This record gives sequence, structure tokens and C-alpha cells, in this order.
Amino acid sequence: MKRGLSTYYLLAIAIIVGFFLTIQIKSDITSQGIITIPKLLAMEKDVSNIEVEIENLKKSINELNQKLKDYEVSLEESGSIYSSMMEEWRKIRNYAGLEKVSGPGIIITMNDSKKEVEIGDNPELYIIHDIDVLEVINELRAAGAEAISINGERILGTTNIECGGPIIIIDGKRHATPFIIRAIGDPKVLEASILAPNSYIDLMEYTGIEIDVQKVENIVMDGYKSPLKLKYQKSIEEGEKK
Amino acid sequence: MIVPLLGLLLGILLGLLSPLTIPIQYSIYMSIAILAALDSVFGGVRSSLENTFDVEVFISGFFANAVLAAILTYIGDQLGVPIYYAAIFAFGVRLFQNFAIIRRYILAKMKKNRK
Repeated sequence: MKRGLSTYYLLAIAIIVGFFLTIQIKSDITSQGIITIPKLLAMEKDVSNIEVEIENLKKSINELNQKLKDYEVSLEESGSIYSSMMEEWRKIRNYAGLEKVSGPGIIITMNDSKKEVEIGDNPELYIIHDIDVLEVINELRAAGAEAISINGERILGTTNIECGGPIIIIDGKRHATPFIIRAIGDPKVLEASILAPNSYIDLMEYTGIEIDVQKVENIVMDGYKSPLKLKYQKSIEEGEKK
Repeated sequence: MIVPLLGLLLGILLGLLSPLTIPIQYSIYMSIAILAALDSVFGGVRSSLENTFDVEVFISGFFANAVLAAILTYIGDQLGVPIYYAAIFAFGVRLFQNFAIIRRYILAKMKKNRK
């Protein structure tokens, strides 16, 4: 009798154990373990990163809404969204560097060194190379330059600058010294960053390469003149696969 | 010994059939409940082998242990200290102790049968 009674209870409890176990396993809960302080900090960082991302996404939603509203306004006013699309198109062409633009900025004139090469010194250091020009352009871009040209040649995202002996080749066109680099942007920021201690120009001046930086109120810059060649890329609708 | 295993299988079947799932924040409570139940099963098996099985002790032990463990877990959650480790530890130790005693009983029985 006593034995039989215990069996029923054991059966009941065993059923409960099995039931709970299965449900717990089915819930697919990965063990979190102990939450240590470094883990907590990492999680907090993750959270704040995600919050920043959300903030950015909200901003871009607002921007897109604004754009949509612009379209609607222009549709109401003129019956078509042609004008606002034209404006956007122009903006994109400006961004790509295809249009003639003007704005404040700086003009950098670079010339080869006129110093005599000291005995034992490398004469290569006394002339300007393609890499020097590239470094300067990169620094200008880092300082927020919106449009850059070298000797009137507009620099695009696809522009290549190569060494051609005593000259440099920009997008297949030969250019000799002096190199006049024009950049549109905040003149103060551009100048400060280009002339900062240990900037590339600062280092180049040691070998007597002549560099002149001028702040200019208004620079007029031609657009990219060569034909655009798009041979391999084509537009697609879907997003990039990650 | 076969009865609890049968119950376990039945419980697993029930669990597989039921659509219930546990939200992640209650998973600790669930694991504590599992431990408490498991502890009761081993305790029950042991006491029935010893012929000292008492329904009231068994049932009250199961529920009281589960409730205490749940309370500890809750307090630990509030304090940020995993106090439920105490429950895990206590249940775990007793589980092994009970298992050891059950094992000895079974071994003794097997020896007797052989002779």
C-alpha cells in the first residue's frame, strides 16, 4: 500500500520534471552565464551604438520625408516633380564633380625645389612626385574639401594620378610643375589642416619644395571634361549583399 | 525505478505536444523548478527504497523547496547577485547524495539476487 502510493507521486513528479525540461529546451534559451562588469560595459556600448544607429536612421527618415514633401509641393505647384528632380540631379552632378562650380577655398601652388642638391642627398626628394600630390589631395579631402582640381583637371572619385618621370599623369593627361591645386571648402579649415605641423606639406618643405597656400574667397572650377566611361557596372534595384 | 523513468518519458511527450514556451527572463525560475522537481524525484525514490516514504513530507518538500528557490532567485534578480546559486548548490548536492544512496541500494539488491 505504502509502496504503491509513493509510486503515483513519483510518477506525477517525474512527469512534471519531463514536462518542464522539454519546455525549457524547446524555448531555446542560451545560457547567459554570469554577467561580469566588462560584459556589462560591452553590452552598454552595444546598446549605445545601436541607439546612435537608430538616431541616424531617424534622421535619414526625416530627410527622406522632407524630400517626399518637396516632391509633393512641387507637384502641387507646377503639376510635375520635374523641377525638384532637376534640382536633385544637379546636386548629384555637382557632388560627382561634373559641373562647373564656385565657392570659397584655397589654392596650393607646388613647385620643385630650387635648392642645390646636397652631396650625398637623394635628388628624388627635391622634386614633386605623384605620391606627393595624392597625399595632399587626401589631406584636403580629410579636411572637408568638396571639389578639387589640379592644373584645371577636376579630380573625381575615379581619378588616377600616376608618375610619368618628371611629370605626373592625371587621368591620362600629362601635367608638369608647377602644380596648382584648387580646393573648395572652408578655407580656414583647409589651410589649417594642410599647414599643420607634421602634415605632408610641412614635411615636404624640409627639402625646399616650394609650396604656397592662398585662401581665396571665390574659386571657379570647371567640371570634369573627359567622357565618362561606364563599361562594367550597371544599376540594380536590390541592396548590396552582405 | 522504472516508474519515474516512465513518468519522465510521458512528461517529455507532453512537453513536446504542448505549445508552451518560456520567456527568457523566466528561464532561471524554470531551471530552478526543474532542479527542485528532480531533487524531489530522487528523494522520493530513495525514501521509497528505504520504505520511509511519507506523502506529506514529499509533497510539502517539493512545493516548499520550489517556492524558496523561486524567492531566492527573485531576490537575487533584484540585488544583482545570483543567490539562486545557493538553491542550485543545495539541490545539486542532495541530488548526488540521494543518487549515491539509491545506487548502493540497487547494488546491494543485485548482489543479493546473485547469491
